[in-house]
Amino acid sequence: MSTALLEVRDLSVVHHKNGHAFRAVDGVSLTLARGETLGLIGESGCGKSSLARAIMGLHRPAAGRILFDGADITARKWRRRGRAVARRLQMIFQDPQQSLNPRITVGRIVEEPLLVHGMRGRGQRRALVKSLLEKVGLAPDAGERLPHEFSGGQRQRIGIARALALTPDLVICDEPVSALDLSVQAQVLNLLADLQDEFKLSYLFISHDLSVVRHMAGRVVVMYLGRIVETGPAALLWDGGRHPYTRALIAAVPGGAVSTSRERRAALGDIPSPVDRPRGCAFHTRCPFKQSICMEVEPPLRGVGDSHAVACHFA
Amino acid sequence: MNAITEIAAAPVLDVRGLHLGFESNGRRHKLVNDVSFALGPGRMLALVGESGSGKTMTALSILRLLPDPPVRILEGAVCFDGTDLTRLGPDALRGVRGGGVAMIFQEPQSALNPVMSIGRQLREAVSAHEKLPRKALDARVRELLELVRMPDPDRIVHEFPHRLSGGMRQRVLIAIAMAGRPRVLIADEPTTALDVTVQREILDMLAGLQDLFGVAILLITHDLGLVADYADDVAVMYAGRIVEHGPAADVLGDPLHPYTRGLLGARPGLVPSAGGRRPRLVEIKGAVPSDLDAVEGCPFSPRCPLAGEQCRLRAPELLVARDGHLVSCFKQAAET
Repeated sequence: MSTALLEVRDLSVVHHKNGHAFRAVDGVSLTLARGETLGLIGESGCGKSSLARAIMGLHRPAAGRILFDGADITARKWRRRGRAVARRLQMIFQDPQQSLNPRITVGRIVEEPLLVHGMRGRGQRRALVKSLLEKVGLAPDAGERLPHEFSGGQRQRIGIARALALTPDLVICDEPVSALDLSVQAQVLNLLADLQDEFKLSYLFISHDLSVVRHMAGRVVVMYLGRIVETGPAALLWDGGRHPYTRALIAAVPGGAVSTSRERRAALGDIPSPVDRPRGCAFHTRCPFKQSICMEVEPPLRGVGDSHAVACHFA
Repeated sequence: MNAITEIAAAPVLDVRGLHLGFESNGRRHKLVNDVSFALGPGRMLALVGESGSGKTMTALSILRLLPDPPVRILEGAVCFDGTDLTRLGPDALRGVRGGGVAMIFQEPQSALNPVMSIGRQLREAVSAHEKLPRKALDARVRELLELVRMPDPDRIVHEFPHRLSGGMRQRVLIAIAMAGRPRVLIADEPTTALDVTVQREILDMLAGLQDLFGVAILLITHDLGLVADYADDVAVMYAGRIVEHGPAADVLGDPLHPYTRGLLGARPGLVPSAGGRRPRLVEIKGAVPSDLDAVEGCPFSPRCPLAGEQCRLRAPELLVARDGHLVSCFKQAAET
């Protein structure tokens, strides 16, 4: 296999809250191959969005490196991040309401990246915008209308058209369907799958919804309070998960295939704040299997099989 | 309790022919159209639907919490224990709110007073329903916190809402709702703002209240998985109407309405993808109509794969298809 399309090495992102600095992302490493969909799953405060934003160059990492197609694009030198990289690395946001400028037409929104990247010829740009809007399933006259005239699902289609305008290689999808109703969510997920086939896209697919990640991803990374607790083929989200946290996530899927009786499900309690991360294994405060070592020693992420790694003393 | 006595028990909440709507520019707009359901003691009925289906408006109308004006009850009755709440005066209604029927909401942050300790808010809630000396009051507050499985209740009473996580705040709100020993609890998307592992615990706890006190729960949700795991009965709403209604296992196991079938097919991640190919999800074409009055005939007909001529002419009635299972669809009626 040639070099990975995206490689993140020991990345840390530090945020400040009420005067306390804390690591939202703490020493995360991952790779994403060309044409692959890597799912990133975790609950609020696990650092998945901070990681995405650091990769996009929207957060400055405190430590670590980000390599895109072999080139270092770590945000410390983001001013030197060339347009060529920006063109190939695009993002779809969670909230299609807030990520579209309400005052310009949809055609203009999709055209803007083309302008920024110096595509000459107005006619050529317009034609491309038209074909993009058609590609994502919007009406031919959509380009002349304003974002508020569209439903949530249609606005997400606009966001997708904008992300695809520059024919990127990697698209970071940050909770792309969590604001959508179920029937519309299926439309958008099918669209993302079709576009991936057609344009040979790679996705970093971020969601808190295990069912959605299961459906989209080939490989998955499970994060908890800033660190990776388990990573491997998507099958681990079915029954191959070995970390107690992964297993708790699987058990929590409503109406899931894995049914556990109400009595047998251990109560986990709430997620600790990332600001005061528990000592030792961060999951020990909620883990039904914790031993004394878990409160003292942080378990390293170690390989347990074919491209499967888990950070637990006992898994 | 066996199935026969459960069915025989008189409903504690009975909603009959409810119509909700508002007027603007002299035109009347319908939001909820002829909705009826009954909830027996100790049962959980889920009202499912996507945004704009009218499920929240229906829930709010029960305790007359509608944003009135403009939204009003146009027609219908909401009977709690035999009393029609739509006809009660403000004082009598206040007695029912919290005492007979209590409600919890999606966003627990905005429902708590930010400058009052948890203990004080709970004492206030208890005092609204019964006058107790301080010691008994504190004991009752503690009992309520234990009821909602609050970890470390002695510390929590001194805390303020902003110090608690979303899951803990929702527990506090459920404790407040339980302070008046209600017989019906309306839970409007109680876990939508919470993480999945916490969602599980909250719903397990609500199910516990059902078993323990025979509280009847009306769960408003968009999540069919939760319905499958927790509800006894389900009513599926679309564009202001109930389109399918029956025992949850029956409706989800063998759905009759094309909309319910579509929703079930649209759920991702239910089967592992074979050979690395992800299965295609069932799409429901189009979107929920934004103006309900503009749709003629069956409100689902513009998106329905089965829709025929008669579906576009008039709306089908909600009729019994089989034992306790109702569906509002011409095509389905023709098949059975």
